[in-house]
Amino acid sequence: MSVEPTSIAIDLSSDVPAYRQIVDALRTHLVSGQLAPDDTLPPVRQLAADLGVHFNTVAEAYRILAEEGWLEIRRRTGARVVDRRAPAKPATHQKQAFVRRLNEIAAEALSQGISAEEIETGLRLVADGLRRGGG
Amino acid sequence: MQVQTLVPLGILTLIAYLLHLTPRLARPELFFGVTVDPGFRDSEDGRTLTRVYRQWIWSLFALAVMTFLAWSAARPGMALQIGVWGLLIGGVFALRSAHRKAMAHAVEPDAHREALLGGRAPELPGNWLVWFAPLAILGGVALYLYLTYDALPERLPAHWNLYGVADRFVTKSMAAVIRLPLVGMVICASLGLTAYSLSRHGRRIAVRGARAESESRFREMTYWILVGGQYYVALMFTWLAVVMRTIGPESWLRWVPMALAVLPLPLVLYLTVRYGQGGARLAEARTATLGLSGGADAAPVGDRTPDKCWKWGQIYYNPADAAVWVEKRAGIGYTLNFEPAGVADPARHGGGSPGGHTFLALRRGASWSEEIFSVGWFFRRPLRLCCPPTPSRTRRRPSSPGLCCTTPATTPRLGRAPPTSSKIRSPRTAGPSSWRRRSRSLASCNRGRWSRRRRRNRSRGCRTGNTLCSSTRRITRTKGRPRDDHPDARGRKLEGDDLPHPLARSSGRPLPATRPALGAHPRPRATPGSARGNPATSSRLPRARRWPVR
Repeated sequence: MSVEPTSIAIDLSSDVPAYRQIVDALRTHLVSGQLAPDDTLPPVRQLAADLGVHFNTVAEAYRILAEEGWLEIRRRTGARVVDRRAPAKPATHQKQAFVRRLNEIAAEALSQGISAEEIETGLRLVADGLRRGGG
Repeated sequence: MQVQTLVPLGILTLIAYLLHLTPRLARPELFFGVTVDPGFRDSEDGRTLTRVYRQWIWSLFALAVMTFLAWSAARPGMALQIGVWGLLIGGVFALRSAHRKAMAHAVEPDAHREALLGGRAPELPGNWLVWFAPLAILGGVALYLYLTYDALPERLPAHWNLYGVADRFVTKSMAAVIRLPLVGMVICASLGLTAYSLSRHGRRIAVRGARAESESRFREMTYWILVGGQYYVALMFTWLAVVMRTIGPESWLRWVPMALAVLPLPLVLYLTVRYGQGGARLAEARTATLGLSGGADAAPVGDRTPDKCWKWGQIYYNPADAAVWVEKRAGIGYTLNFEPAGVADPARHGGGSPGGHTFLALRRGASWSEEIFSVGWFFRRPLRLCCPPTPSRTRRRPSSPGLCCTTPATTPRLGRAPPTSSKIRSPRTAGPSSWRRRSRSLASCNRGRWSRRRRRNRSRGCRTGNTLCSSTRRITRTKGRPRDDHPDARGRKLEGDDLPHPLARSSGRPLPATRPALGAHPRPRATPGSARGNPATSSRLPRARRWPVR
C-alpha cells in the first residue's frame, strides 16, 4: 500500500493571507506528526513555485514557524523539522490571540446554527486527533 | 517537381499543420489560452471558434505557398523565409484573435494550489554522463580541429543552405575553425541548463492521482527530448565541422544534416500528439479531467496560472509568481514567466531579466533601439553610477554615457541633478498596469526613509516625488546591490503577497488583506526564550515582510 505523500494546499482567492494559510497547514502537519523531526521541507523557491506565490510569502511562513520553534532554516536546502518535545509556555499575547480566534470561530458557528455542545465536542475531537497524530 | 521546391513546401506544410493542431493539444480546460469548462471545446461555440481559426491558418498557408512559388525562381532562400515568417506571424495573430473571442466564454479557474512537501525526486533522467557527453564530443572535435589545423584548406565554408551546399566562405583562422564546435557547445549547454532549470523552477500542476502521473510522464518526455536535442546538436555540428568542410557540392554526404533534422521529426510529432500539453491527452488524464468536469461545483483546474497574466494568451508575465517555467498555453512544452518573482524589477533595481526588462521598457514607452538593442539591461547599472539620475518612467535618452563616464570631473553628484520635469510622464499614463502601479506607489513613498527622500526630491523640482524616489533608490543601490530576496534593505519592496493577486481581483471578491486584521492573526512577539533570538533559526533566511506595529 502506497503512502499518500504529505502536501499542503492553499486558496489564493481566500481573504486569509497566503503566508498565514501556509503556516496553518504546516503547523497542522507538525502537530499531528505527519512531519516528524529531521524531516526536511522543500526549499523556499521550490515551494513558492509549486504554490504560485512569491517566495517571500513562503519565507515568511518558514520564519514564523522557526520562531515558534518548529523549524531550523537552512539556506538553499530548505528547512528541517526540529524536535520540539516541550512546547514553550504560551505568552500572554498568544493566549489572547487564541481567545480572539476562538471567539471568531465560535461566533461563526453559532450564527450558522451549530450548538455550543457541538462546538465543544468538535474542538475536543480535533485536538485529540491532532495529539494522536491523526491530523 | 524538384527537390528544391518540395523541401520548402514540406516545411510550410508542417508549420501549418502544427498550428492547425494547436487548439487540440492544449489541456481540455484551456482553449486558446483561456480557462474554460472542459466540455466547451466540443460545444457548438467551441467548434465554431476552432473552425474559424483553422480557416485563417490554411488561408495563410495558401498565401505563403503562393509567395514562395512566385519568388522561388529569383530568390529561393528569401522566398522560403518570407513564407515561414509570414505563416508564423500570421499564426500568432490568428491565435490572438481566437483568444479574444474565447475570452467571452472564460470561467473562473480553481484558485486552490497544492504542493508536495517531500523533496522532489531527481527528475533529470540518466546520470550526469548522459547530459555531459555531447559537450565532451564537441570538445573532442574542437581539439581534433586544433591539432589538424595545418591540414585544413585555406578557404573554409562557414554556412550551408537547405540542400547542404556551402553558400558562404571564410579565410582559415583558428577562430573560424573552432567556432562551429564552440557554438554547438553553447547550444548544448543551453539545452542542459534549460532542463535543469525546468526541474528546479518549473511548476507541478497536479500533485496526486492520474493527472499527476500523466504530467510526470510528460515532463520525462520533455527531458528526453532535450537530451535528444543535445545529441542532435552535437552530431550536427560535428558533421558540419569535420565532414562538410571536406566534401564537394555533389557528394551525397551533404544530405546527412537534412536527414538528421528530418528523421526525428515524425517521432517528436507522434509524441506531441500522443501526450498533449502536460500529458493531458493520455487516457488516464483525460478521464480524470472529464470526471472533474462532471462535479457540480468543481472549477476547472487549468494550468494554475491566472488568465489575465497571459498576454494574447501566449506570453506569461506574472511578477507575483515564483515559477520561472510554466506550461505554454499556445503549443506544447514550457515557456518562461517573463518576470518571475524575485527577479529584480528594472524600474526599481536597474537590473532584471532580459524578458522582464524589455517588456517593462516597452510599456514605459521606450524605443526599441534604446531598450532592446542597447544590451542595456545588463550594462546600464555601471553606467548609471556616473550619469545624472533620470526618472525611471521617462524616456531614457542619456546624452552620452560613455563621455560621462570618462569625464568624472563633470560628473554630478548622485541624486543632486533634478530631472527635467517636462519629460516625466504621468504615472497614470505610463508604467505598469493599474494593480501593480497602485501597489508600487504605496511601496515606494509611504515609509519613513523613502518618504523623507520623496519630500526632499519634491523640493528639488520633481513633480512626482514617487518617480524620482524610485529613480534615486536605483542609483543608490548600484553601490552595492542588495540581494533580490532581501526585501527590507532600504525601504520595503512590495511584491508577492503584498500585491493583490490577479485571481482575487478578477473573481470579484475582496482583495486579499495585505495586512492581517488587527488581532486576527497576531505575530508572535519575541520573548527571551523564543527562537527569534537564536541565530541558528532566525538569521538563515532573509527577514521578510514586517508589518509596522500600529
